[in-house]
Amino acid sequence: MPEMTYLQAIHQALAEEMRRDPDVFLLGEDIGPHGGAFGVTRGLVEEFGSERVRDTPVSENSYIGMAVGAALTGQRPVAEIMFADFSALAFDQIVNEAAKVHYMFGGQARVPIVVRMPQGGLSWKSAGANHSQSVEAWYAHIPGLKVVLPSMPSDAKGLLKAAIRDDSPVVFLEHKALYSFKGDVPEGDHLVPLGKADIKRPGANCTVVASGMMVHFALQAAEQLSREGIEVEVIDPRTILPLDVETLADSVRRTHRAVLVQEAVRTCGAVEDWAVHILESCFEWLDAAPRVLGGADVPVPYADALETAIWPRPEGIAAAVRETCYA
Amino acid sequence: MHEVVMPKLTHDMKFGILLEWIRGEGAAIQQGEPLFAVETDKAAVTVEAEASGVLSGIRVRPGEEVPIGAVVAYLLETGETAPVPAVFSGPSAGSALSVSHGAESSSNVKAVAEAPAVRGSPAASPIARRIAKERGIDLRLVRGTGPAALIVERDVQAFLGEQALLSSHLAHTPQAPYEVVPLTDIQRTAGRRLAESMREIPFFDLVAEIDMSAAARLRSASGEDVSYTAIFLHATAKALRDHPRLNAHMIEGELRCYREINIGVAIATEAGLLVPVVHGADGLSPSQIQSALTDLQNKARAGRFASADLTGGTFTLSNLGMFDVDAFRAIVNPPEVAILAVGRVVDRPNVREGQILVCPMARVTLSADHRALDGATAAPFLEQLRQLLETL
Amino acid sequence: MSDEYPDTDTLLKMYACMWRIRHFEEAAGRLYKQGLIKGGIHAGIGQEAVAVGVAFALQPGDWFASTHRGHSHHIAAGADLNRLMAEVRAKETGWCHGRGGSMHVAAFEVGSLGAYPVVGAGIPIALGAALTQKMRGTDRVAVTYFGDGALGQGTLYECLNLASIWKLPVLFMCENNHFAVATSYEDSSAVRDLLSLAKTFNLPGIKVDGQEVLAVHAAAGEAIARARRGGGPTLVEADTYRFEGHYFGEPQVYRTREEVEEKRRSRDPIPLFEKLLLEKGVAESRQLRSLAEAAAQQVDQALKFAEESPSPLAESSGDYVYA
Repeated sequence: MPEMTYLQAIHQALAEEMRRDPDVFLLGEDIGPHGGAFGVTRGLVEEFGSERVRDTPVSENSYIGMAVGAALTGQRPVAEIMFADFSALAFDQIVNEAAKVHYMFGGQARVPIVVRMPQGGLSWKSAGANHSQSVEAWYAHIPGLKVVLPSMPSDAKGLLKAAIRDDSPVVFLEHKALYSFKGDVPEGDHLVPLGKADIKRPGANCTVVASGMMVHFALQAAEQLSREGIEVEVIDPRTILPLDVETLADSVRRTHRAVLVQEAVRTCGAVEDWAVHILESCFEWLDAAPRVLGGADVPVPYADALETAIWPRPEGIAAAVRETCYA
Repeated sequence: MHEVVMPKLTHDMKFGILLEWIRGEGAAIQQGEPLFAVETDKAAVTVEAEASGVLSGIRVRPGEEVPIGAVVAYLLETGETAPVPAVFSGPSAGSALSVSHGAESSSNVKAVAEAPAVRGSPAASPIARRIAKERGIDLRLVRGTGPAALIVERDVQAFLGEQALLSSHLAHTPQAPYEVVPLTDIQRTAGRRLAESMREIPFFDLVAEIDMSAAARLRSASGEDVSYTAIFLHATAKALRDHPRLNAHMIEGELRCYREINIGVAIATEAGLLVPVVHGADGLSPSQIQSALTDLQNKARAGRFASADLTGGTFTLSNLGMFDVDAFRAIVNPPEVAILAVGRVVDRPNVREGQILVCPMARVTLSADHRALDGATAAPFLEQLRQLLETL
Repeated sequence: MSDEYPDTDTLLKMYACMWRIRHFEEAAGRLYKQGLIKGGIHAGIGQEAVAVGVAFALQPGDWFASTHRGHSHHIAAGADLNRLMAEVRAKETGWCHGRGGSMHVAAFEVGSLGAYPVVGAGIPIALGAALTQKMRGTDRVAVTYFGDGALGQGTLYECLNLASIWKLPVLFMCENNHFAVATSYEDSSAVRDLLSLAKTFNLPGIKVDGQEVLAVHAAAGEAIARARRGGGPTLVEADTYRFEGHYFGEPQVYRTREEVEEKRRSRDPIPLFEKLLLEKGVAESRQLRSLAEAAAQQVDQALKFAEESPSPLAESSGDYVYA
């Protein structure tokens, strides 16, 4: 199986879908000859031309709105917002128009757009408060949207292809600190279904549900805990909305313990949603209350020394697991 | 209108748990009739009505904890109404105490076949609870190792493992290898207190072997009516007169040596071990003591102790001679500082003036609280006890 | 009439259409007062000439994005009146199965991209539709309706910029009725002359009397023709007036009753058109009366249809969340 980076996987997904379907086109800032702020779209304008790889002015709300209009008239646009933090500028079009058109017009039309956004912090050049947020909760609260957050290259490729083919609007969140992470990606038309969680590592003693970069931290914690005789099952929801509750619940019914971890700010975050679902569906099976870990309730600071203090770390995840085991 | 309150039944009682109502809402009560049963920090006790009237406005449900002095119900005269509506109407169905309900009860002892009222199961995690329910485990028997002794999954699994191990030693039967025997409230209370006693009190024991020939003669002279227990009690009370330090309570670091000598005698009942008290034992003859003991035994069988019967003890005596136990060591009954454990009176070789004789002998074990006593202060008491018994 | 005007048949259709809009909006107003319609109804009474003038310059395959004041756009585009009234009455048989209501009507089969009550939201959406036409090489166009209130929204300027640099086949149709809810255009816009705005963004601008349906039709026609042949976007400002409040029942503290009545007398687009048709000998009074009557009857039928239609089932509240 070929190995490639998370970024390459996303690039491949875009290229393959654009080759497959002439209605797919890209728009965003500096995505053409510049190749995108992170280089994701490098080379695509050369292959597909500037009509289909379209540089826009710095007008987030309007070019996302245009993506909606293009989608309503039969195309499948994939828009890029340079940093997830900036998506706040396009909030009206994503939340009030894209998400709701299918419903409020009674099914007359659909909005098959994908809005790609790099998000997250953690060892990426101290980008600070407005370039490092994790925004899945902003959008997971909106009925009509789908929200995806892959942690591995193979998921990134498979989920993006599936998102482009999905007839509903999808917010596709890429973790920018994972762009250089290498992993195996299946060949061929590799699709990963939206709304399906994935067990990244099986284990019998405790279920750890994690997203994005935290999946990697959880796997590190699992290695350490295994040496202590505690086998952790790591689950990646992959799709934040709609959430695959059944996979999470099924796991907790087996392990009787849950630790839920995300990078995004904990308060009103997806991780609290997971905890409540687990409480509702697995209460009688729990040996301990679910432990919930998330980013601290602070804007992302600039200094490394501060930034590393605000997010969960593998040691913290391991400690939480041990607590649920009364170890 | 008479307010029925939670009485202070023992020295350090701050509140009592109302175990059950013996009479119900609207019943006509005569003064002195048993009204309700209370668990104190020591034992379960029946409380009698202090006035006559119609029992009304019951304010406390079985199982509730009530501070002493709090009103639990009212006894009304004709035409009166209770100031509050009743929250509970009648006696509960099952009871840990074998109490008779209103009508005469002759000798019958109510079997403690029913499970005692559960005041709330111990804290356990949801999965521990679920497994316990599925496997028929009484969580009260499981030791919790989680925070604040929370029973968690591994504890229930460990319990099951132990049971499995146990059952593998038993002959194979088609039924489950064990039967859960519920503990009564009295057993649990006593168990808790005794465990605390063992933990807190530095015991030491003194053992003596006593020639009971004189006592045996006294016994046969009375036509076997006076028991060895009564004889021991009589002698103990007299010895305590000269050794007040053993007739004392240790309370919050203070040693209180009592003037009255009230000796508690351990009596086995269906509901558990109770220790009714013979008050002023030093002023009673052996046959008077025997009457008192007989009376207490009858009350024990009927399950009808008055609160005075179970309170005020300053020393305890326990006799397992009737079970052919040679000697044993009893656990000091806090806040008392000493207890005497008496074994059977049986013929044994005894050396008297250089000669080996066969005499009725008894081995007694004095256990004492080393915070109040030591060998030097306790041994003289034992010696005097021996003297008294050997020279009756 | 001369060649520059549409033929008689079209003129009479336009006239009838204006009456259909007028009767529909007035019926909606009555229903509102009877408590049979909930929420806000934003009537386009007085602005019929703009909707009809533009719609009659469009062809099948063209698109338009509408606003909260969108019944007229949809009626002018030929959307089924029964389903429109049913939607406003929140019935299952409405265009949106009762999920949109007055402010979110849509009729994609007649070219509607939907009505968007967030001010300015429809503008980029219309541009997206126009982008599709350009990318696919069709000669279809998109119209975006907006009011003077949208002059406060950044997206308008972003879209003027985008349409201009990408030469999109769009008609920016500004219905300047001089009030955004209670705020007057004079008080809230530094730009007084939209033609200058057009010039700034490097695209053609036309200002037209919004109460003269044929003037609107001509202006829209010019803009649409330009867009069709690849000439890019045009901004058309129609100077118009609404005779009702922002919504039915609004206290209207921001203008006097005298002003409104004066406008009704002198600037009502329907009598103005009628006068023109009679003067030019296109039709006789009797004919026009019967067209108005027929329009009223169509609206009555729509009322009946809506009244007799069922409400959507509660169990269906979760339908249409995802495509």
